[in-house]
This record gives sequence, C-alpha cells and structure tokens, in this order.
Amino acid sequence: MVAFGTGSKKIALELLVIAILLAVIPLVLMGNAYYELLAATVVLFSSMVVAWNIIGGYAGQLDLGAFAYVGVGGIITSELWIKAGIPPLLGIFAGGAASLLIAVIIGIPTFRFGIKEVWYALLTAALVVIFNNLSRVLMGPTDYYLPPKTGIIYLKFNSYEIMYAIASVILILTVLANLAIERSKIGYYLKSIREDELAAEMIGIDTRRYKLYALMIYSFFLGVMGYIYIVLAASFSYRMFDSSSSLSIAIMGIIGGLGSIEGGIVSAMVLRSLGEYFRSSFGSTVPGLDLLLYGIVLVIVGIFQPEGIAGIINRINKAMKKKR
Amino acid sequence: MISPELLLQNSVDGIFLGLFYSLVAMGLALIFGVMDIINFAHGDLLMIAAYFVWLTSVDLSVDPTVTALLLIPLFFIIGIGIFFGMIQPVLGKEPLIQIAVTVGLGLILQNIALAMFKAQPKAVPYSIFNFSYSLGPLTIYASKLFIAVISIVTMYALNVFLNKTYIGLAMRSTTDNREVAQLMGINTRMLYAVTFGLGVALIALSSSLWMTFGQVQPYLGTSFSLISWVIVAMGGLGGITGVVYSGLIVGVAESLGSLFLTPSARMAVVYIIFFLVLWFRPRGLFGRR
Amino acid sequence: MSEALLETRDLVKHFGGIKAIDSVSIKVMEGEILGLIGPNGAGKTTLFNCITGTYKPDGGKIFFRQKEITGLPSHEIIKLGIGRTWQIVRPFKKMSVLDAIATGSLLRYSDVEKAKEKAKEIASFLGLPKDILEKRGEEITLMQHKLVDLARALATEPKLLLIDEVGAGLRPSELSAMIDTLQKINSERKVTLVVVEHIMRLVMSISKRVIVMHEGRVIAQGKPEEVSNDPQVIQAYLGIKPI
Ligand SMILES: Nc1ncnc2c1ncn2[C@@H]1O[C@H](COP(=O)(O)OP(=O)(O)OP(=O)(O)O)[C@@H](O)[C@H]1O
Ligand SMILES: [Mg+2]
Repeated sequence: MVAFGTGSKKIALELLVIAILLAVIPLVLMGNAYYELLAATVVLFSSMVVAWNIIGGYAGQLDLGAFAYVGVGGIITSELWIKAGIPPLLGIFAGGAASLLIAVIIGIPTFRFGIKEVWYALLTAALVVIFNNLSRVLMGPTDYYLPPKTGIIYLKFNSYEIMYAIASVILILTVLANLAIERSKIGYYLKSIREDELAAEMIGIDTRRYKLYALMIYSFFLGVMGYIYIVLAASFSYRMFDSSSSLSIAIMGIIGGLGSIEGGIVSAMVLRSLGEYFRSSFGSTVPGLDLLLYGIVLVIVGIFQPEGIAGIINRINKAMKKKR
Repeated sequence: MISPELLLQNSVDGIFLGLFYSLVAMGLALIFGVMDIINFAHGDLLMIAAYFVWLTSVDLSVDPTVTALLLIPLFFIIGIGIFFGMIQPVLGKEPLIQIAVTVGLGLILQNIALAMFKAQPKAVPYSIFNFSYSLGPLTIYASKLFIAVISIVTMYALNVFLNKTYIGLAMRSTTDNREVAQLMGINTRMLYAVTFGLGVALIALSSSLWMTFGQVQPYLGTSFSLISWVIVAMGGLGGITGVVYSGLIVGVAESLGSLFLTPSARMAVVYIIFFLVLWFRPRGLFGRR
Repeated sequence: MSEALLETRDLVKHFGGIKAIDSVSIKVMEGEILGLIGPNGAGKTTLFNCITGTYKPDGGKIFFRQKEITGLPSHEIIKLGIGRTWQIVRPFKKMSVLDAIATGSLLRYSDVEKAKEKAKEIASFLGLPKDILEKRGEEITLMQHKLVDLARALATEPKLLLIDEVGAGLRPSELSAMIDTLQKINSERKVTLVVVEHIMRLVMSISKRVIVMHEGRVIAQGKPEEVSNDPQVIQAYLGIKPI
C-alpha cells in the first residue's frame, strides 16, 4: 500500500478502517432514505473505481469502457432473472462471466495488435458507444423493471440501508482483490508493464497475457456490480451503456492516483458525493455543475499533481516520518 | 428493400459529410502529428465555436458563413492561449496525463455550455445556403454542397501551406522527426503554439460550416472528438490525403449505416470499422503513424 | 573450441531502405566476454533487438544453445536465458528499486517474498547501497540506474547477457567500478556477456575477443589489439570509405 506500508498487519488495519467508515456512514444518515440511496450509489461507484484500478492503475491502460461491462453484466443478470427465473444471487456470476467473455473477445486482438495509450482509450470509449447503439436496436428505447420481489437471493431490498450494506460488501471484496493482486506476482508484473512495457517484456513478462488478466478481473467485477447498479437505479435500458459515466470512473481513478486503492476510494467518495450534492441542489438551475467540478479538478491534478490524491497522501506520510 | 435512389442519396450525403469530417479531423491530425499531444477536447472546442456562431446569428443576424471570418482569427488566438495555459505544462508527459487534462478541459467547456445554453439543441434561424437542388432522383442541399466545397478548398490551401511556406515545412519536418527538426534550429515552442492555434482555427471554420445546416448542443463535441480520432487513427499520419480518405470512409459508413440499420445504430457501424482498422491495420490505412 | 552459446546466421534487418543489419553471422562462446564495437549507426543495438525478439529479422537465423529462436516472442527468449540492458536506461520510475529488481526475479521464483530475497542478494552482489532499495526509480543517480538495469536483467538468471553501452555517461571512477562489476558477473555468476561499447578503455580491458560492425556488417573480429590495428576498422571509425 502506498500510504500505509506493506505489512499484512497494516493491510488488516486499513481494511478495518474502511469497514468502520462504511459502518458509521448509515448512523450519520439516520434513516433518511434519499441519503441512504445516495450513500449506496457512492459506495458502488467507489467499488467501480477500485476495480478500474486493476486495469488503469496497475496495468496503466486507460480504459474508458467501464459501463460496457457494467451494462452487459447488469442486463444479463436481470434478464436471467426475468426470463429464466435464475435468482440474481447466482445470476450475478453469470453476469460477471458474460462481461469477462466480452473482455476476452475484445482484449485478445487488442493486446495482440499492440493497441495502447490513446488508441486503447479510444477503442474502449468506442466499445461503450457500440454497445449503446446495438442494445438500443435490440432493446428499443424502453425502460425495463425488475420483478417486485425482494430478499437475499435476489440481492434486492426495499431498504436502502441493506442495499448500502451490499454495496459495502462489494467494495470490500473489490479492495481485497486489489490487495491480493498488489501483493502477488501479477501485481508486480502489471506495474512493470505500466512503467515500461518493452522493459517488462525484456525481463520475461508475457505482457499481452498479463494485460488480458487485468482486463478480465476488472470486467468480471464490473459485470457483477452491474446488477446492483440496476437495483439502485430501479430500472435498466440501453442507456446503461453510458460514455460519460465510464469516463467518470477513469477520471476518479486518475485523480485518486494510479495504483492507489485508498486514493481511488477517497476521490470517488468525495467527488461523487460533492457531485450529487451539486446535482440535487443546483441541478435545475445550473445543470452539469458536478461535471464542471470533475473537469476543473482533473485539469488541476493533471498539471500540478499528476500522482493524484495518492501523491498527496505519500507526501504527508513522508513528512510525518521525518518528524518522528 | 432499399431503393437505388435512396442508396445513391445516402452515398452522396455520406461523401459530403465525410469531406466535412476530414476538415474537422485535420486540425487534430496536425496537432497530434506535429507535437504528439493527445487532445480530447477537440470536439468541445468546435461545440463552443458553434455557440458563437449561433449567438451572432440570433443576436446580430450575421450569417454563419460571415461569422467564420471573425471566428478563425479569434480561435487562432484562443488556441494559442490554451496551448500556453494547459498544453505546454503537459507536453512530453505520459499520454494518460495529457488525456486527463484535455478531458478536463472538454468537461469544463461542455458544462459551461450546458449551464449557459441548456441542453436544448440550437440552430441558426437563417442561412443563405438554405435551399436545395434536384438532380434527377437526387436532392442536393446547398449547405452540404457548400461545406464540402469549402472543406476541399481549405484542405487544398493547407496542403499548399504545408508544402510551400517555411512554417508549413517546419511543421512537416517536425512531424517526421522531432529531433532532427530541433537540430535544424526550428523553435519548437513557437511552432507548437502556432500549430495548436492553427488546429483550433480550423475547428472554428468547421463550426461555422456545421451551423449552416446543423444544430449545436453541449454534447456535440463528444461525438466530433471521437470521430476525429477515428479518422486520425485510420489516416495514420500519412498527410492530408490520408485524412480525406478516412473522413470519406467514416462519412459514408455513417450515412449507409443509418440507412441499412437504423439511424441510432449509425455510430456503431463507424466504431466497428474503427475496431477492425486498429486491429488489422494498426498503422492506419493510408500511411504510417 | 567449445560449442557456441549464441549464433546468428546471415541475419538481415532493414528499415525502409536502410539495411541496419546486413547478413551478420557471429558466434558467442560460452563463458566469454565478447566486445561488440562500431561507429554510430553500425547496427549494434539493432542486432540486440533482433536477438531478443524486439524486432523480427527479415532474414537469417538465430540459435541459442543449439535451439533456433528466430521469431520467438521476447518473453520466451528471455525465459530461455537471455537478458539485456539498454543503451538509455529504462527504469520503472514509480516502483521501488527493490520491487523493480524483484520483478525480474519473479521469472524464476513465483513467490514474491522469495523473489525479493533474491533481488536483495543480487543488489548486494552488484554493490548497490542498501538505502536505495526503498527509493523509487526516479530518485536515483545514473550510475545507480545502470546498476539497477543490470540487476533487473541478472535477476532473470540469464546465461547470456547483452549489455548496450553501459559505460556511456559515467565518470572515470564509476567506469572502473563498472568494469570490475562486469568481470565479476562473468566470473562469479558464470554469465556470458556481449558488451556493446564506444569507450575503448572498457572494451579493451575486459574483452579477449572483439567484433567490429560497420554499416550493418561485421568488418573485423579478433583480439582487441589486432582489431584496433585493422586498416578497415580505422577507416570505418575515421569515416573514410575503403578504396
Ligand atoms: N526502429 C528503427 N526504425 C528505423 N530505423 C532504425 C530503427 N532502429 C535503428 N534504425 C537504423 O538502423 C541503423 C542502425 O542503428 P543502431 O541503433 O542499431 O546502431 P548502433 O550501432 O546501435 O548505433 P549507436 O552506437 O549510435 O547506438 C541506423 O541507421 C538507424 O537509424
Ligand atoms: Mg546503439
């Protein structure tokens, strides 16, 4: 971990901090359903950013296609429930697997042909538009609704408090996956690919294969989150394949700092909450204030603080060490 | 069954559109080629310029074609301003940082536009090219013909500029080999600033052309950015002809895509072609990258 | 003489009109330190790039331990036991020095802790000061960078190490240390070295055998003192075309 050192005790500590923070939030919200829904959305969004960290932060591939995978996973899970009666508790794995399959189909030629940097970013951005257009043809412009049933096997509850808890569990699982990657061979390999792909190849790393692994893990997690996203949004349509949401995920990841789990969480939670606040307070008079904020922060970070929030955390850490 | 007339109509419209797209992408290709800067705010600058056109048309009753004369120098200066303010600090940085900064700029422009003009699309009330010819079964809109002609003329002029003037030659040699160009004593900083200004000025021209028949809304830029990048990817840095051919492919693909599938799937067709090109011709169709 | 560890046969690589490598056949013997010299643009780096699979050769064959490796992907070639360093260092800037070296060790030891142990051992073998191990790639000096590059390559446990201009930019004292280090790698780790170098002092003091390239071709080979008196070599360096 960038901020807290590398020992496993410290990681346990960090998880504990995240868990306590997550547990405290609902107490503060005190049963206000709107805020609870908001909190659940923000936590789910943070999980997406943490998942993005695998492909964007560790492997350094600027993926702008998050909602292609969120959409595929979410819609497959929902359709499996609606059409085949498969409960989402199982269905989310099918949804995740469907996203993963898409990732493999896209990823193999993409990495095989050495597509990276701006071209990778464009390709993944285009992927979202392709899915958006094609699913519009297949699904029409209609909004679809989930069956009214609730319960744990449907991962769906009327209480937003419970939905918030589910989102929190997903966040913690995503963090755990990141930690596992970071501390194992794959994490080291991905980071070296991010730093210098050719040099990585020259120490025997099959860079294509490892980039594909990163894309697979990322897409699986997003696919699983897709269904929860639908439950929180209360409906789904082709509009789930949304370019600007996909972009936001990457933006939060960059602002958080590449490869930094806590940076990603902080940036997603702060920016997304602020964004929601702007949207609810000024949305009718000054629409887009939230995105304007993201834009300004992004420019400032890009020019003055390219290592994002993680860079700031790092500096504070160093300063504290010196004092001691 | 699609009638031959309709097919012809859509192909011709696609060609006009494609020529226009190449003009839009030209500025981006120039900037990316010369200074290796990844600009994701390209389309958003076009969108802002289009609002200028709309404002002058509504408030001052100036025709879009006339506004262009004012906008081109104005946006040249704006471009230079953006270069020194935001681009120069990230020159030579990792692509990701450049993308972040220009995406940020795009978001700022988009949402300022959204705040000022709301999401409702705007069109100019009147343009001198608001009529059409019938050519047998074919309808040719004067505005579309006009933008196609202006696109061709501009690109021809640009070609002359790049081949005959000192600055143009400096741009070309910098595209080919940055180090050598520096050794030859080209002041890259000024060259970059001018290139960026020129690229943005070309966008201003495009926006005026667009407004002779199109509409502007805050998100107009996103699709133009993506399309421009698709064209640059296909064209490689093979010069103006590469950009024109790629623009034509995109324009015709979009037009036929909306005919054969549905209008809402037209961009999918373009992007699927983009995927295939990147995968199988990673150096572009018409030159190296 | 024993079998060649590495052999190229009629290797060709061109870029557009330029023949960067023009029918090059060389042998590298097990255990030696081979010097590879030649004026700028002679094709030395390109030869390395072909051997390591970075470039696909346009003709000819490459054998490593009697096995043909032409056209294999880089990572497979490295796995077989070839390592390389870079003319211009390519550090992992945002990783710690220890992590960067350990990433190399992971090729042979999948366990991260074990890989780190190996990395520490290599770092101390190369005389890298302990306190830089926790520093990030962007925080160290050029000499240290070159050592880290070497360490990272050594960590993959190569039989053959291709070293591209490791002396460039070093101060005289650093250069002497580097010469000792290379010799130590060769004798203690039993790694065969091919050393590309412009600094004659370095080549002459460590290589028993030297190959000279010019305009993509091998123009001379033999003992350093023989080669340096070869008229063709002198002409190549002076830039006069042989009559
Ligand atoms: N990727 C490339 N694309 C085009 N030309 C190349 C490429 N790499 C090398 N060349 C050309 O091949 C020739 C040999 O270059 P190479 O780098 O192998 O020389 P070198 O012997 O390593 O020179 P130096 O001592 O300057 O490092 C040069 O003319 C060079 O310009
Ligand atoms: Mg070289």
